[in-house]
Amino acid sequence: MAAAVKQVNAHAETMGSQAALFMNINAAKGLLEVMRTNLGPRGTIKMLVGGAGDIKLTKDGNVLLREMQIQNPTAVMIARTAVAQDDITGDGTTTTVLMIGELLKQAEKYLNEGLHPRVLVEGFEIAKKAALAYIDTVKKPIDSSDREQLRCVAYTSLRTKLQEQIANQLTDNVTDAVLTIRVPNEPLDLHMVEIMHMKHKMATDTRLVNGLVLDHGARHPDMKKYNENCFILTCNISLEYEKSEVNSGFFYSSADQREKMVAAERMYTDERVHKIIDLKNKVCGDDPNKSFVVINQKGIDPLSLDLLVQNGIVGLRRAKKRNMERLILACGGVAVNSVEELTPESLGYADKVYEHVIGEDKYTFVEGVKNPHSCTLLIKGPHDHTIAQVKEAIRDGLRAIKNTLDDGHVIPGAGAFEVGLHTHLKNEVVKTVEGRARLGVEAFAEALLIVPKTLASNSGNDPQEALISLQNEHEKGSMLGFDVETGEPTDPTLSGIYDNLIVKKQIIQSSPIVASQLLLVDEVIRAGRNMRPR
Amino acid sequence: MASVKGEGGAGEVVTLQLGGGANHVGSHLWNLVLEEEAHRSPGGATSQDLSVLLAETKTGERQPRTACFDLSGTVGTSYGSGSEESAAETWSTDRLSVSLAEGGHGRWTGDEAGAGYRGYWDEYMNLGHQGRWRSQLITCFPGTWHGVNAFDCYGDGIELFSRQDVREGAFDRVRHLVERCDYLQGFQILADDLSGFGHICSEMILHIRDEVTQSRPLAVVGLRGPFAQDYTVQSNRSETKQAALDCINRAWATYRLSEASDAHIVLDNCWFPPGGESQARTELYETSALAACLVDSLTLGCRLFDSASLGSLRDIMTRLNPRGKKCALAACAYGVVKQGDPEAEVVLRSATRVCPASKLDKGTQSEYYVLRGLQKGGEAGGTISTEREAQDWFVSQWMEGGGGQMGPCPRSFASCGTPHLVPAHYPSTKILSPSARAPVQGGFSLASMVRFSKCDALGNELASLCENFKRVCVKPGSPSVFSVLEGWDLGAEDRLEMMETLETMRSEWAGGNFFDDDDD
Repeated sequence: MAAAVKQVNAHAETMGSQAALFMNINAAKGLLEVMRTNLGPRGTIKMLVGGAGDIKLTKDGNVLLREMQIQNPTAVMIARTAVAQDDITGDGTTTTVLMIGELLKQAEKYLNEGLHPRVLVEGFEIAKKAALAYIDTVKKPIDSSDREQLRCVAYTSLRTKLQEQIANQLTDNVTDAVLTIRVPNEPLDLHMVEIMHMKHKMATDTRLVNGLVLDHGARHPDMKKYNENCFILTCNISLEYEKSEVNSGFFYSSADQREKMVAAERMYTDERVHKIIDLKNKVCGDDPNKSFVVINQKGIDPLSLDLLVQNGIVGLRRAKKRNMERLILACGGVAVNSVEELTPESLGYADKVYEHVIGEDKYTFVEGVKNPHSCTLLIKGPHDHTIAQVKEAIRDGLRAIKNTLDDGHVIPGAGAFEVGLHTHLKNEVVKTVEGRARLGVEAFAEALLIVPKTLASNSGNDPQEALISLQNEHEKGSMLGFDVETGEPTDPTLSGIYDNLIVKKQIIQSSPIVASQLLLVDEVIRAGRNMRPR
Repeated sequence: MASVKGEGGAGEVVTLQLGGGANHVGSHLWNLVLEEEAHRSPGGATSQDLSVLLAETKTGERQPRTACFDLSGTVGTSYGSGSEESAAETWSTDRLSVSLAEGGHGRWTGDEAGAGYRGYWDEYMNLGHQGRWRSQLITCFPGTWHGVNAFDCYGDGIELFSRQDVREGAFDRVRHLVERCDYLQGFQILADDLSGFGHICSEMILHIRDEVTQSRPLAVVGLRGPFAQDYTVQSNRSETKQAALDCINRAWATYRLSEASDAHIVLDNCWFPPGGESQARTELYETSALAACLVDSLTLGCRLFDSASLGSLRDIMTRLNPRGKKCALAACAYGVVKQGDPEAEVVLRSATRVCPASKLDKGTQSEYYVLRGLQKGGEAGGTISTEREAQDWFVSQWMEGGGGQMGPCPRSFASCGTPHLVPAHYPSTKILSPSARAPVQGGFSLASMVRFSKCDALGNELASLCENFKRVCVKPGSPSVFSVLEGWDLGAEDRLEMMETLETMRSEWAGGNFFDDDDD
């Protein structure tokens, strides 16, 4: 059958409605098969090997989708949706891919029997609305001051990415980190948790530092490596001699005059250093137990460092811009932008500031701070793979807690929600739907079961058996999930398995939309020349 | 010459390498510099102060002061990790020279359709003993599906670099390098400036200006054409659209980089090897080696020891651009010759499409020559090692060639008696001079002459770029071009602003002739 498009553009490659539909479905199913083994705490991991033999181990759906080379246009579209899910919520990437794949897989059954895709799409729409309404009936309010509840959410998220032992420990770190930076009635800024990594020791040595860890140290060998009772000056003042703009050169007529001008320029820098030294003398006096630390966003040149060291001041240069903000939140004081603003009140305070050296790298710890509203998660690990894995997991854990605090509610996890929604759609919603759209609702309900089924099969259990026992419990009215350890139904609220409300909402909202659009494609037209060199 | 340096000696120059082409050039550059460093006799009898480019680690090794950025998948290992699999492939001259001599070419020309150049620059870059600098020097930008996402246009970098983790990671690298410097002189940035890395480069410059230094010089070397990596191209692009995109890329790079930097030296064309342009593309490994000699010359003036020194990078920039910046576009030409070749003759070759390569062009606004290891020739013999000798040599060359007069313009010379010492696996220079095709065995050295200049031809190029841009982009006729522009957030107002800036640059060029009055 020659497509009509051929008459419009003779060079266009086309694919008829059946072929197009099944291309989309197959692509979605393919992606589903790739990702399904990675779901849940018992999911296995993938090894990505790049063109040059570089290796990356991950089970994070988001990382997988970003790093995998996906060529199929449909798969790319699904991947983009899933990655967007991660951008918005920080979790649920794999579930989104599974949901879309399974929706199409379910749809395929009906399409093979000659059902028009439009009917299914109508059903999806009805099911989606009902599902969103259902979420609100099962969500559990959470007390944002209850550390244990927040801990559960973080644990659920971390446990899917890391081994139990590390996950356990990180959960406490992550939860405490968020609680530290939280300021009542202000939006939570996760950037105020600094994530620093050291290639050192084991991943289990990862810890929360109440204060900051800077990835650089004092540049002068005589500066003290360990300081107690420190005043911290956070500033953005250039303490180096910098020749002024190109066109405003020096104009001089003799070498002598030039020397003077250079000296005058140098004076200007020295003056600023002296202002800082004056402040130090004012606050520390002659007390040898007090120290003074300058953390500067701009540079400090060796001459200025000399001056500082002569006066017992520790100076760090070129601090991270974001750390300026964090230092203020951790140590107090204000970030000073000019020497004129220097006052004792602008200083922060920390019990100790000390340096830690690993090979070529220096780290400076600022610990024991007054009002910690910023803190550091110090990731340790023997090699880059571990560090990268922990880093990705921590990011997701932080996001999970933030989501919980924002939502004020959580959803029972371990597949309990999906089975619950399935039962609800099957028992209640389907009956209210007239006509063939009912099939769409049923397909949607079936598709939801991919989550508990995958959880079961990934943990080495029989998915059908697990599903039946779960459904039995749900028929009885108890909302149970699947325990990956025992293979038995379990109450997620008792074992503390909670998911984010926004994650589930987002999945329910975005997956049917993409699935519907893919179903409604009736022709694929590819025109134009491929400009890639052949 | 007046120079105001840091009291502790020459200041440091930080190098940034953005993109595949840049990293190929960078790899060769560091191999040259480290070779020079390795041959330094214990007494320090070298003519150069390499601490400008190299930092000293605690163990006493000398490490390049550079940060290399590329897309994951284009280097031997992703995420720039110095993990086990990379440590297995240690850097050794033997291994490299063997692998390059034996099968290098067959593997790298790429037999896959559309594969283009397949070499990995980190394979031949000296990354220290056991490749241990790898994780310190190399950063890969993740998240781009290499081979799927187009990255050949300036705007393609926007999406990648808008990711916060990518940005901050990249800026952090720069901060680390700067933190180690006592007397930072400035930056030299190598970038594939017509590709997505052009955008990243301009963001980098903005960041440096905001956070690091407002006044220290930034020299940008733009690598285009045969010097650049060929990135994945968006499919189904018509020829008109391609032409329009080329114009946008050029205009955008000029608008962003030439305005913000102190020198924007564009390398977009050179002689082509016998196989023509397509051949040059597959020989990035060799082409980039020549560009490395050129980039090496850029900082030579401030690396030379006291008496021969031309001052700081700032002073060099001022020589190149005596009228101040505004448009920092500069052209350059260079000649490289194998030392000891009796028939050798230094021929200046143009490295920029529009820059005439002849020794005498009219309408030069300023010139800066860098000579390395050139023989005086004639009865005097010996190498040229002082500024004075360099100048004399030039005069004699011109007179001999019957070339008439030198055009009047500010002209300066930097010269160094020692030629480039070339590491064993450095590519032969056969594309430079097809006659000298003899395979190179063992160590050899290269003499070079590089001319940086601002010339009228470059102004003309700028003018035609203005016209093109006006025609193609200010009111785009083609809907596909329009949608591309919109996709990059280049609204009508932005385009007008770009247009105006380009016009201003052009008029500055026109008015920049040093001896305007004399011409009348």
